Amino acid sequence: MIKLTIDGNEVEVEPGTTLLEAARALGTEIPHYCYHQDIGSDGNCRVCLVEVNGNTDKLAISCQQPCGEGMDVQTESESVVKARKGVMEFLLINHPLDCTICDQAGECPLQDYSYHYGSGDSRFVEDKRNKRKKVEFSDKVMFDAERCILCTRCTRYFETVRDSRPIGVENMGGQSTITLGPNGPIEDPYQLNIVDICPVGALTSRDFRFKQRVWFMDFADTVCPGCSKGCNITAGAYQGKLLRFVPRRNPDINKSWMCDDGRMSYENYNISERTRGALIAGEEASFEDAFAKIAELVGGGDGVAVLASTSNTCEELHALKAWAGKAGIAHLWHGSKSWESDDFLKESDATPNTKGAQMLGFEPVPTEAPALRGLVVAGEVEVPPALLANLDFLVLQSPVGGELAPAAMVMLPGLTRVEKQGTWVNSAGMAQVVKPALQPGSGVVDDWQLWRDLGGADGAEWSTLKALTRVCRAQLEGSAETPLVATES
Amino acid sequence: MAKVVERRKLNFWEELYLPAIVDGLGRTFRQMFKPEITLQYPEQRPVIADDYRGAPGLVKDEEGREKCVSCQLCEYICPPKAIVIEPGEVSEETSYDYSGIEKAPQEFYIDMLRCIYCGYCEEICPEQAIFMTGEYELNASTRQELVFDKARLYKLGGTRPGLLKKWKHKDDGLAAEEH
Repeated sequence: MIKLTIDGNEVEVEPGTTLLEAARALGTEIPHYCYHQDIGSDGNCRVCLVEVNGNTDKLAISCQQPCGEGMDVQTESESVVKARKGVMEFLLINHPLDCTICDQAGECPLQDYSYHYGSGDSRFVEDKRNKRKKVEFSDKVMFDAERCILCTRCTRYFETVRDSRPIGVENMGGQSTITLGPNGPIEDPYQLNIVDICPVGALTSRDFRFKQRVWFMDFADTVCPGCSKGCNITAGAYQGKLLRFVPRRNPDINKSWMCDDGRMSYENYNISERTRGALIAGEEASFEDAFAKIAELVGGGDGVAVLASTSNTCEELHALKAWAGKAGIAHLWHGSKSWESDDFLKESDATPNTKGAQMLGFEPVPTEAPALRGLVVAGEVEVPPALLANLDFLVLQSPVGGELAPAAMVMLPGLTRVEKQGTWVNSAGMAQVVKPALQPGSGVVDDWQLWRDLGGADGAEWSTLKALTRVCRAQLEGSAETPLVATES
Repeated sequence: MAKVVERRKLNFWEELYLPAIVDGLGRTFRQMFKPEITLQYPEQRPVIADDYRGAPGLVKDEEGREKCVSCQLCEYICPPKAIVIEPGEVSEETSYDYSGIEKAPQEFYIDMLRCIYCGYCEEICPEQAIFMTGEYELNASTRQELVFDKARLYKLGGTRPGLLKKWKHKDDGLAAEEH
């Protein structure tokens, strides 16, 4: 271990740690562009300069300088502040300052750092350099060469994380620019990550481009509902409509990345028409009548099965299971949905909570299912046609009725994956907190409340979501094969 | 408790009333020969000052180009939240020679019932695209009619010559380099 002081605070780090990382461990933020936690640094932006051992003649770049025993590092000394100001001035000399039409504005480190460390004024009176403004890197990514500060995070992302080189730097000096390689447009299924790591607005997502200024949007720190990997994301919405998913760093699951398919899956959750209120045989009814009808149909529970979607949260499944237990339903099954997996993040199970469902005692639909009298479908799930044959009744609880709606005796409303609140367990057995990114509006009750009220709430040890989460977590931890890691958002 | 006001006793001439009537008629007749100052609105119109803050409108420059780049700063600053903009990419038809511009409003709504005519939108606009016009007659039979859309706002703002054109020569350097 190496001991050093940063701004007078002593810190002990592993050998090989850079000054920037050591400062970060102390909570001291040193500005940086070319350095990124998950792809390292290149040392080209020069904005992370610090003073080491009082040497004001030659400042060190903290992203590359390893910690040394007994170093005395100053991050806010007079020479550092002056040098940083100079670097910021150089970075902004040819930057177009078209923040008014730039999508990065509002979440742009160049804006933030120039506000904190820059001079707020420019001495540059000559003409700014002109470069290409609209370069199509692919059907997903657009590049603006003028805004680029050549930190090369994007090229290094492909080199270090994706082991490919679809883009690179061409030309020298002032004419340097990022350019497509000879193989044409980028085809990588993880290419949109370069849009997130680009510290300026040079790389923009063609999907989100010009859709909304970020300061008008609402954000929810949640989990990607696309597959069982459970990548941490921030969902951005504007006036009740999802506009984008962006990854949120979680070093244990997805680092700073997510797949393009998961990112674009937000479109599925902007539904215009949905089930509101309860329906009995297609007629609007009160929830009380619907609950009474379900109780009448289910009767003693023999010959009835519950088929739950694995996008339900553990809390919802727990409440569902509690009701099924009271109603005497023995068959608790979960649905499944798969898509093409790959060797990086994308898992073949395209639902986020299969593991949680299994931990709570739900089983896959058996290949030779017993003869059924009735079926209760909870959530959006593909029902195998074999189950639907010879049914007396079907109870459908789902945000969208879909093809099953005409066959359903009782229909109840439900939440979409981005409206849920609770716990999902990913394929690695990590329980993660899910937060709602959208509100469902009138006529829709939280799924767990629906099952609670259906079973008659009295006698349940939980009446609030908080209490239910506590009960549910205890049960998950009791049944976990792998240690359950709770990652709070 | 009410206060009792003692009335002054009138003298002889005052009790006659006639002098007061003659005095009043005299004033009336004198007024008839003075110039009129009443404005016969709506046939006659008041003179509106240049900096009058009437309904805000969007303007085009003398080349007929939309000035607005939908940066939404006016939407942000608007105290009563009267402005709603739907941003979007400049379409092929509306794209001009100004290659630096990529963004234009797809729709631009100002709710004139919400607008408080403060002029912040004009003040904050970095593109000189929105101005307070002299329009003060905002009547309609429904509320919806007073939510002005983009077409109506451009009609209201009209054309303003002599505005800044910061995007106009932006691309010259690149064009010269390519030739």
